Amino acid sequence: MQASRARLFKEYKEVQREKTADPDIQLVCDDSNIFKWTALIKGPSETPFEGGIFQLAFSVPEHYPLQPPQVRFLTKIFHPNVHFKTGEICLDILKTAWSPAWTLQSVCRAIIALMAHPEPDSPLNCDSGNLLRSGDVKGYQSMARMYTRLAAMPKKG
Amino acid sequence: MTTTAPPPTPPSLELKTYWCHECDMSVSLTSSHSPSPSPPLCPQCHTHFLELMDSPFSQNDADSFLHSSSSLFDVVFQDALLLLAPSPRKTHTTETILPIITVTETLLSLLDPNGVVLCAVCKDAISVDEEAKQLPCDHLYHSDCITPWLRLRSSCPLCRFRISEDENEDENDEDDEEDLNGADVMREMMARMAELSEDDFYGLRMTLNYIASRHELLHSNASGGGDHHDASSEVGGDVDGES
Repeated sequence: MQASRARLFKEYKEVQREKTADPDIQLVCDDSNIFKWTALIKGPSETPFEGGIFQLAFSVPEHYPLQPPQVRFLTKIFHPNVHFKTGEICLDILKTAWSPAWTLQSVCRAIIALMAHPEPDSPLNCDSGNLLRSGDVKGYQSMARMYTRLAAMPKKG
Repeated sequence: MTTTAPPPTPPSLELKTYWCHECDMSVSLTSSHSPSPSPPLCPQCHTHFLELMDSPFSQNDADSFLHSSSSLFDVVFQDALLLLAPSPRKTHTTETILPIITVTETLLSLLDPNGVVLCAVCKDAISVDEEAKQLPCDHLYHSDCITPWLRLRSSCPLCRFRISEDENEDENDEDDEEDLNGADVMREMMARMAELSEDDFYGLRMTLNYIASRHELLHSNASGGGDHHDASSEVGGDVDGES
């Protein structure tokens, strides 16, 4: 517990110091609980998520960094590897391929990379995965763009 | 009857937003509540491939889900995940093989021109006279930081270098070792569950027991063992008694 706290505090200070280092990621620690974080990430350019701001919720386990953080999308996203209802993310580094050298910041970067490079063969969103697997890239992109507009962009008047 | 001044917002007309899958953009259309509604037409491309975007999603509707997920489940499944990590036994031996070294200035300057080496687990600098372990790939960690990790995985956190087992281990029959590992994992899981049973959370222990005994059954069948494992038998007993 003490080790995870110390490590998270280290990451907190790093985030404060490097606030402008990665303009695509904004990591914020819960005011009262260092084990709860949220992040705002920018949808990567040249993807259907471009222009969207996506919110992630981190729940950090007691044995962090020996165990990976649990991360979910709070913003709806149409992506093969994200559960449409719960926001759960299927990403190897959050499960079996986790390494304690990863940080919350680098996990955000990995999620941005996943947004740009979906893995339709291990889908959590079957509709999304099936569109890509059947080769309907246009259909996938259109659906994904629609939900980006619906959920990840400021409402237009 | 004619109306001279139409009301600013006629109640029969409603502005709705559609997504045009042809144009990949949202379009705003006024739809009337007339008895014969014609399908909406995209003003850009004049096709009907439109989808109504009238379901405003809350940005935070997954929030309650996240916070309601019980920490018990986190504990159990995180534990299961760790226990099912490959080859916990092998890593245990590698952990004891790697010697604890006392950090010297020479070592630090060898690894980094400025002599500043960060432990990738705690992200703190490793200082002279601290206890550390150096993996075969040369990466250096605090001993207290890397040892718990090596118990879980015999790989370097930075480069995933697989730490080779010592040579005596290699002589063992691989299959035998796999079976033993499986049994060890089962036994350890049962031990963890026994701890949990103190509060017997919502019958979760029962379920896990059942899953575990099913798993054991499959395991013994797959390895050609007898049928002496009954799915309903008390688990936590002799799990490695396979013939």
